[in-house]
Amino acid sequence: MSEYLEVGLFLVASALFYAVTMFMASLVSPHAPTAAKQSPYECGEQPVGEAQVRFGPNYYIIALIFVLFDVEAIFLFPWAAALREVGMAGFIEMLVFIGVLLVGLVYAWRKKVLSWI
Amino acid sequence: MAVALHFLPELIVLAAALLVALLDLWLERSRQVLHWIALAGIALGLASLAPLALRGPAGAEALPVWAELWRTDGFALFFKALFLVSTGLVLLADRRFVEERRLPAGELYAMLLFATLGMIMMASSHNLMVIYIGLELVGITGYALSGLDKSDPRSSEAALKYFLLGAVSSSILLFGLSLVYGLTGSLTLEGIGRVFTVPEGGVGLAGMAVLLLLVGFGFKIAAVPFHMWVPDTYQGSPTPVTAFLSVGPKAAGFAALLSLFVTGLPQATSFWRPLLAGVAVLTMTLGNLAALSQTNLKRLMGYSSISHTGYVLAGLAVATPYGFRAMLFYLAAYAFVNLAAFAIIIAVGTQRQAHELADYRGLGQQNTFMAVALTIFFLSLIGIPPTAGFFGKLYLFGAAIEQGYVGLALVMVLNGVLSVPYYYAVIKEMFMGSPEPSAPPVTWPWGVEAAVIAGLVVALGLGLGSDPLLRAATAVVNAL
Repeated sequence: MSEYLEVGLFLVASALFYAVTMFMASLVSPHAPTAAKQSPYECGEQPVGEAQVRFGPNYYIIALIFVLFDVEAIFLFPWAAALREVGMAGFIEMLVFIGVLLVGLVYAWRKKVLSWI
Repeated sequence: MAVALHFLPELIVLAAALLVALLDLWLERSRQVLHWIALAGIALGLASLAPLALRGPAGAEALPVWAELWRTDGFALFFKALFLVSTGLVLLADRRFVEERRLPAGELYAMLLFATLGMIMMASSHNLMVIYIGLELVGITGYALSGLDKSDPRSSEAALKYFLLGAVSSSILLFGLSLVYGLTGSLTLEGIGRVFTVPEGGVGLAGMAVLLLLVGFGFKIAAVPFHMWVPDTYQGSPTPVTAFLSVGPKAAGFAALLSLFVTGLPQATSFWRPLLAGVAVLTMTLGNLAALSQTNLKRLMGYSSISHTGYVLAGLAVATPYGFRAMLFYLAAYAFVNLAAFAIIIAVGTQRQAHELADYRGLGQQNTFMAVALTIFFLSLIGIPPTAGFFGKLYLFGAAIEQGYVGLALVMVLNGVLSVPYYYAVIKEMFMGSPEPSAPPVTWPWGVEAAVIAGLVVALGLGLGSDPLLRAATAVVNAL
């Protein structure tokens, strides 16, 4: 259990660190709000409308496919680093893995997921 | 090649699933080709079990791949055969239904195959991670399958409810698995089994882990009180999917539960045994009581499947080789009989949309063979001799009494009586009523007939001579 205790200590310490810094900042910083200062920060642009707007569901499917290939990349890196150790069998296994994902991409493509509606 | 033999069924089913998914993109019109490929994949997968099965339960185990990660022992082969046959029966029965309802055939078949892949993976895996991957593969395809009929809002409702509760239960299960890993430092069932104990008197972290596992698996196998998704999901899903859900994922959950609890948590038996017995009693009784007032046959079958979960859980709760043997026998008999009954429900539902009991009025006059077959399946589900279901229940009673669980056996007997009225309500409608003049006649595609005949052979064959399956189950359990 002692390993978990360290994790818990880190959690408590980071929470304390945050709380103390914020508290000290609020003590020493000058406080002079204006309307411009309190508006949401959008990289210098004037904010337009509400923050809670509707997004097209298209984003969700694109994001889903992105996550898929993101995960593929995560598997590819350690595999590439260990390619000499895993040998030919590992190479073929990775080809199968990429092949399966490729089938998924072809499927999404043919189902017109990639074209913007 | 010797190693590849142990993965052959998985590879074949995966290849068939990918092929169906790809061909569907260019062959949208020819659903029959996809259907044949899916069936061929299942048949080849079954055939690929033969070389290992012929070595016998001990011989199959003599070649463990990565000793504590992946086993192809008799236990795994038994369940793989059961899963492949279940999916095969669903595929046989659903063709006409898919055409009539304009369901996306490619997606249905591909996802049935992917779910089967997850199920047969779960049968072999002796590692928490691999078990979880299999479980999620079955779960995610199940959510998508139950929402496949996009023209029916009930189907979407079914998918949403199944998905939400399934996702919650998966995270609970994962929490339990992580506690087990944290306590034992091992992901393999054998490694966990060597050290995992629940200390006497206190629940503690180990007890919490067992409880969380029980809740997580309880959702997957639909045990009370984790059954809330079942009625709506079973009623709303396209009927072939309901048939699949009532057998495949449930049996896969039992396979994982059995190997996890028996191989991984044997030293905690005295802790989980009363818990499982309690859940089993609740599940049987509540499933049967709720089924009594149903008028929709799919919903009724949902509650009936809950009560059967209770019986199988009782076998696990007894926690002796006799109990496990009875479990395997009961599961196999239930799978065939329930799927064959669903084949008839699918055929009736193809022409008559509602699945109300009134839709079955007078079926005995219109088509005597199918009505008699459905009656025999229901008798087997009740557990009346000489059917397979009777022997399944008999072995379960025997195992419970042998271990001194007379109360549990008594509850099982009482529940057998309790289940009679709702099955008989259907039988009464079929034979005593006369058909509605407006009801369209029911046609019986060859696939439905084949599934029904397979169910009849098992229901009556096992009832008259239950030795072969019992011997197989005994051999499997002895090798466990």
